[in-house]
Amino acid sequence: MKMKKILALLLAVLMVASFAACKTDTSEEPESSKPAESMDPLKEWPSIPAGTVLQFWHAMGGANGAALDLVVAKFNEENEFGITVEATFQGGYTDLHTKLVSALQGGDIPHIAQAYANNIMVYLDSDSIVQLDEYIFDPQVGIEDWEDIIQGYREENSNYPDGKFYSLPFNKSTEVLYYNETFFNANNLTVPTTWEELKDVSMEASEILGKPAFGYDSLSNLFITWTQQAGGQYTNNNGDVLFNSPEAREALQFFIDGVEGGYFRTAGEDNYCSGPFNDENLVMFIGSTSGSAYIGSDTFEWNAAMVPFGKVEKVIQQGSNMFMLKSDEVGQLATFEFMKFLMAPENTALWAMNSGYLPVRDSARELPEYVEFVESGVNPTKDIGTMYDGAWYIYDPVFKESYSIRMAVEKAVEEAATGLKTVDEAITDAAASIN
Amino acid sequence: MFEPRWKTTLKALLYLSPALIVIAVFVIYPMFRSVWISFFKDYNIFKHTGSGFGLDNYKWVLNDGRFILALKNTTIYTIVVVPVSVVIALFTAVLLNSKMKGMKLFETLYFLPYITNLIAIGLAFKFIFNSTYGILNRILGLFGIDTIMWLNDPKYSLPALIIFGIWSGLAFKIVVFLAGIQGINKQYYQAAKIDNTSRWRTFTKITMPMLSPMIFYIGIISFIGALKTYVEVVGLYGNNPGPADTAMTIVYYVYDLFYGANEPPRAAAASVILFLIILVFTFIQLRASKKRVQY
Amino acid sequence: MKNVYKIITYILLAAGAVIMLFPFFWMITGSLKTYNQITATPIVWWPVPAQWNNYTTALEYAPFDIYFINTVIVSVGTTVSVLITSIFAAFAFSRLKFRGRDTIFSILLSTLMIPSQILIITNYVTVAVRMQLMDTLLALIIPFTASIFYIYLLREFFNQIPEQLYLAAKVDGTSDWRYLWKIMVPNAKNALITIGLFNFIASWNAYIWPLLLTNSESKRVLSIGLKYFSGEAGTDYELLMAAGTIVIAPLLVIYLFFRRYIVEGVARSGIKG
Repeated sequence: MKMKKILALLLAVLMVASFAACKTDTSEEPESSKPAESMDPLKEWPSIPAGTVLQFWHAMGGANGAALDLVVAKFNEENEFGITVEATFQGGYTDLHTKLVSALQGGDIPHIAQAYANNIMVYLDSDSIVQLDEYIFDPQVGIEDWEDIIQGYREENSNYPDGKFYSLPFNKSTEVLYYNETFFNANNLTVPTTWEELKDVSMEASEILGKPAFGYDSLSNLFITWTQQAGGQYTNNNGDVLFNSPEAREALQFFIDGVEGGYFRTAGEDNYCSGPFNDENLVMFIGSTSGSAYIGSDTFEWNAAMVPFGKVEKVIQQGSNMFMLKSDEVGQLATFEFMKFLMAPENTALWAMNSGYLPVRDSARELPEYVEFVESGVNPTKDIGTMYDGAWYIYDPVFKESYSIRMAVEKAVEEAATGLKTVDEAITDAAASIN
Repeated sequence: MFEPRWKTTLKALLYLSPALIVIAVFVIYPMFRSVWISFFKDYNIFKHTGSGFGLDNYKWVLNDGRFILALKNTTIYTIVVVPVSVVIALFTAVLLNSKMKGMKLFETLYFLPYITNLIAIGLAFKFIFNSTYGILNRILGLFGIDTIMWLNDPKYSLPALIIFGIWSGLAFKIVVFLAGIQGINKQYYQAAKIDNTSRWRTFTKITMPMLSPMIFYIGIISFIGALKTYVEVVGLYGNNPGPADTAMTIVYYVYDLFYGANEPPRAAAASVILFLIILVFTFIQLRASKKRVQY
Repeated sequence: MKNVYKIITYILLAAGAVIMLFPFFWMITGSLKTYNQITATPIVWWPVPAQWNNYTTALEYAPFDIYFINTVIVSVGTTVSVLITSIFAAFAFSRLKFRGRDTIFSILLSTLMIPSQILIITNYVTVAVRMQLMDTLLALIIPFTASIFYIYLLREFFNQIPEQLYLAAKVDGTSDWRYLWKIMVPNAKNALITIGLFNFIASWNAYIWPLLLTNSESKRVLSIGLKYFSGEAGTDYELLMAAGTIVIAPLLVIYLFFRRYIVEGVARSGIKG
């Protein structure tokens, strides 16, 4: 058997068949999508018949999944339209994303789903995502107290190429500074509020501990947040890389000095700092409020504080959003009613009290039940996470390469932290890698 | 003997058809789709329309530093994992084949890892490698070896993946080798025994040649499997393939490009490149084997 | 000399067994620890008291009983199909002499080189949209009813059965069909059980495809249950390990049951026929 011949044959077949596949491809016209409804203030909305069923795909497992079931059950019981929402767990975010990409090729799609903004932008290509402005700002069915929704969240969810809303905030979190209160009290340490204090306290605590006292969970968040805290910029909506700057170098150098000086560390092999924190291998770290469920030990008391700031007060907003998929007019209106319900003050508060996330509205924080919950002190992040000014929130601008850039800066921090590259090289290379 | 005739060919195709149909529909057809997609600069994955037909994605991938790194990592991984695991598995299978008491128990134990779910067992490995509470460093410590930051140090992240990779593939290889050895006609061994042939000679003159198709099978399968390593990376490192991507494999890269960066055409181009690499090497192996493997 | 060899063999095998089994030990003891004990220093070798409630907690996260039944149906379905398609194909490749045999085999072999992650999007359209099998157990079986991986392996086992038997049968006028079922299959019984077990285990642990093709809890499988324990900011390690142990426990039982067949390959006690 002549292997070369087979190889050549295979390649030829490969090419021919690819071109054949081309023909079938182009003949597959997408199913015609409905023309966008016009923005008419006097729009006649259909009435929602009782018994309408909505599918909701989400990525909330464990305790967060149970919290979501609770809120959905409340909606199914209370809503005046007789709508039933069926919430389905679809694995982690990546799994859910894979599933949505598959289903949007003409398969069965849900009415509402959860996703990060950069993925929602990809789904826009399917023409199956509902633009929400006409719902949000409609005088009849819209959201009256729109400004009550936290500013940073409103900005993020209209951060799409055409500036329209294609999503609404759902499970939002932010970063806080977790610290070992018992250790801090015993050693007369003060919780740091600035970079300088963070450095001093970390050095002092590290000497007592004999190992790095401070850790940062997400290295891409570190880079994005600290660069902007130093007065620099990360990227903009056009996808321009703006972090090849002295400020970014200053921010990263500040962290790397700490790593090399033995008082800062990354989560590294532990994935999240909560593990070593619980084992008292470090005494403070910056991590997501949604990680608070994994913190706790019988041997010490923990607490949370606002993250320390640099020159500028900036803090990242995390978590994902919900978006609506095209169905019929009734289905979409019913879906919007459900979205409104999830964002209503008492429900977003209920969600926050039972899950790892924060309320999406300012007013939810003042609700008596939420205040009482916060004061009970069961979870300090629920208080701290809501203390940030809405204007401090930063988010990743969304564009085609936003994910790759986030990966590139994370890699840059790792390269600098492991000594593979200098700070300058790491940042220069990260900026150059985006093509 | 029997020359191939059209009648036999037709009959053979009938026997092959159930498998061929399934493979054509679920492997070959989607493979061609991927090849097709890989030529578009912009491709709408939902509507299956594209623009900018050409080799741009291939150029992009071949110039991407992450791809080169993934290629390097995957090559090192394959070069180490395949021979090491084949030799260990062969050696173990021969030991297990000795006529001694308790071999059945050992067989049972050695095949156990095959039933693992790599997600759960990857987690166990993660703990074993941990520099603070991991058991591996404790054991190495007994031999005077200093703490190694297996999963944190860019120098050791790939070796850690290699260790996990060798472990996770051993059970299957041992099973196949042992099954192969036991399929060898016993008369050969009896003859060797009568002649007082040494163990090593029996191994090289009887076991190895008789087992060569199985060794070759395992070689090919584990070579392809190693070049396609993905689950092991996720099991050990989760969503971050080692510090500074030092344990990133090609398939991890492909997956990340497809579902993370949302660049299906580039991901498709990268997997076509991987496919061609494996194809070329497999044909070389097949060709070399024609001369050596005995049937 | 002989005893020295024996002792060395035992020592080597015992050491190897410890290495092979340690991760299991760690998973099972991990499933009985508290969250903090898993990462504690000094190492907790055996948790006292054992946290058996990790198992009850893990079982409450998802309907594992339904998942279990579905997993059995899907694994049995794919395994039986794979055995049938593999027997036919391996027979053709190992005994029939036909035009293009090596070419077809090489092309099939080359399909093993494609990362399956790249194929699933297209297969989703085939199964969910074209075949309209969304949310059915059949959808979880159909794409996995043939495997070149096992066709190749079975071909190697079939090749171990002496060719003379086939030639003799031909001379006797035995049909290929009869020969396959009367001689090949019985002689390769153990190999078939081995391959069946391999496939059963792979099917049992499959994850992403079952997730893509099902929405209802009533159609899902065990491996999806493992996903409930990881969140975006952490993993409930102790529960994941408990669930991981639950998921592989049935495999352990099946394995121990079929164990005596799997190593024997073909024709341990000589060719019957």
